[in-house]
Amino acid sequence: MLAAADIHVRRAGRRLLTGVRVCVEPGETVALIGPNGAGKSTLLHVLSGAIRPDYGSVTLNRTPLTALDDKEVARHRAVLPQTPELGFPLTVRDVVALGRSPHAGRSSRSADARIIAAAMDETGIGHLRHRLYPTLSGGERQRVHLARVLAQVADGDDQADGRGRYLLLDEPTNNLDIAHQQHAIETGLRFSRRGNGVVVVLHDPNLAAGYADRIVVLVGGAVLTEGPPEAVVTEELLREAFGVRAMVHRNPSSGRPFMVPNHGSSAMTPDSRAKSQRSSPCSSP
Amino acid sequence: MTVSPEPQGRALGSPRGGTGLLTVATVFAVLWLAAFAGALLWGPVPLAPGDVLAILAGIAGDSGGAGPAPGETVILAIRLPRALLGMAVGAALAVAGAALQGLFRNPLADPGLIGVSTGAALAAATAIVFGGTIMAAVPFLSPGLVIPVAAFTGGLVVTLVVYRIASRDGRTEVATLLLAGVAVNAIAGAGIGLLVFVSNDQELRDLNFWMLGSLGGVTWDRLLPALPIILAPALALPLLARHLDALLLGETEALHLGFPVERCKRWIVGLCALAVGGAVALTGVIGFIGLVVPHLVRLLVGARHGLVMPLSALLGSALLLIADLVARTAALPAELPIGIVTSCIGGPFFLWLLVRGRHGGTW
Repeated sequence: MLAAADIHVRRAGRRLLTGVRVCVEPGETVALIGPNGAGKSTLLHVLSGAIRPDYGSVTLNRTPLTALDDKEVARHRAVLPQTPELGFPLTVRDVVALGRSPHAGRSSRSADARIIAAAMDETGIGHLRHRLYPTLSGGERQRVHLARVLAQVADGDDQADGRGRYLLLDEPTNNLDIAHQQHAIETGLRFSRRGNGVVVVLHDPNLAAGYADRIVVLVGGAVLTEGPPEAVVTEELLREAFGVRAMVHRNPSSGRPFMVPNHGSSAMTPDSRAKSQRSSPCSSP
Repeated sequence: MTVSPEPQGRALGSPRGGTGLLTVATVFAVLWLAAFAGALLWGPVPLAPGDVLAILAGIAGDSGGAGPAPGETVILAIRLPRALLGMAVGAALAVAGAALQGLFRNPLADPGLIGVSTGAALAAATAIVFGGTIMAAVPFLSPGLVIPVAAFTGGLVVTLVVYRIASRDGRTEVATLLLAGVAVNAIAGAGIGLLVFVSNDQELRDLNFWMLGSLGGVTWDRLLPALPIILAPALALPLLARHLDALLLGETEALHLGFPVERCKRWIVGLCALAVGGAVALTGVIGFIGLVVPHLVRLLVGARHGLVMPLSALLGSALLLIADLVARTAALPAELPIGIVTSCIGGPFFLWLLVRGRHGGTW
């Protein structure tokens, strides 16, 4: 289990997180949602160990991260960054192979090669393996990093302790079209179904509601509520957390909730929307 | 319709480009050997390759007896130490350049950016202008060593200052490191300008020559203590190749991959300061090798530091020896400062890279 207990983070006099408690079990996908600036990315960085909380601690299988070796931690959890940037001409395979670096000297070359190939197949970038990273599109780059973090926590011949690994995904759907958004989320989901934990920061409550086992709603640096999608994604919560009016329906096939922004009931009436469409510069003769 | 001459932006370093990598390495090695041979053979005193080999075999075998072969002094006292210095300095500048470009994640970084070159230059200029006073203060230092020792110390001290400015709470901001380097370089530049202003004609000539760099006048007793200082870091830096690859992704990403990022940064800056400080102490400031060589290598084999650093060492050595050949033969009997030669070749080449880069190529 990867767990953060009573986390407080202050930076430059601002409280970024106050008393946050969050955990993820093997086999579970937890979505972090909340408005911009709610502290989602900060919490993810605390969970990863990159940000040391001012108070509180993060534990991996009941051992504090601070008591573990950095490489040891890196073999058990990987982090997909929000804005991956790299201007140097590494090939796609080179970048994915970097994921295996915490296993250097422990995992065999052939096992690494197999894991790297499998990770590239899983994210659908096998055909790009020899391309130089800077020549890729934003969506392709995102998938390269997804493959890299999958390779990082894949079991080689060096560790078969049967314990879950953890993926922390910071807005993995950024820059992706709808199909690739779904693909990225499903990749994470498959990973969790293999007995691993996933924490994913999402902007779209519908993606969270559609895929997560549990949703944690963060507002103003504190947990507003958490629970299964049916309990969390409600009209009241969307108004309280995001300040939006929305209707919540049920997906008839999965039974999961989804929201539809209620444009009509706010400033824009159907009539004014029709008018604005008519007067848009593109449609004028 | 745009036509891209780049074949899908592939790198030779990729498995399929294996033969390309081998070709590049072979060409560099041949170039390096040729440059070394040229450095020994070419010069005002013409020597046959056979004689040179016999002389070199003489030191290796320590045969003694036979008496001095023709040109033995020229080779052993002048050309060999000069060639060794050129090789070491070329390798050190190029490897340090590659490492710092990786650390700063900026292909335009130059070894001088951490302040080591201008720090060394300021100290050397001080030693040139106030040499008499310094020698009176440290009488145990032989006169020939005052300037190199001052330069080396100055380079390290200024790098340390830059590094401390950029560090807070045990963390070093790489962006601040770069900016602090720029600022400290400007301050040191002003100091050098002031020294130039107060210097007399002879000092001015010395200063000028030092600022433009030269491999000339090196002797064994200056070379031998400096060689390990220059070469050991250049050989050690490639051991950090994986770390540098990870740092290319970003510091947080390297941290997430389990790399000891802060320790890494200290090692990289420290090793670069030693290598470049040692080099500048003996040769003065030689521009463009550290900037252009890693660029060229990345263009040929991709960005993996495990390839870039060793190949940069090889190419840097070769190019500096070739530049030195030009410097000492282009204006016979006088000698051009080598910095003029490297900048003359490196500048236009770099511009070409920039223009080329704008056409969709990558660094």
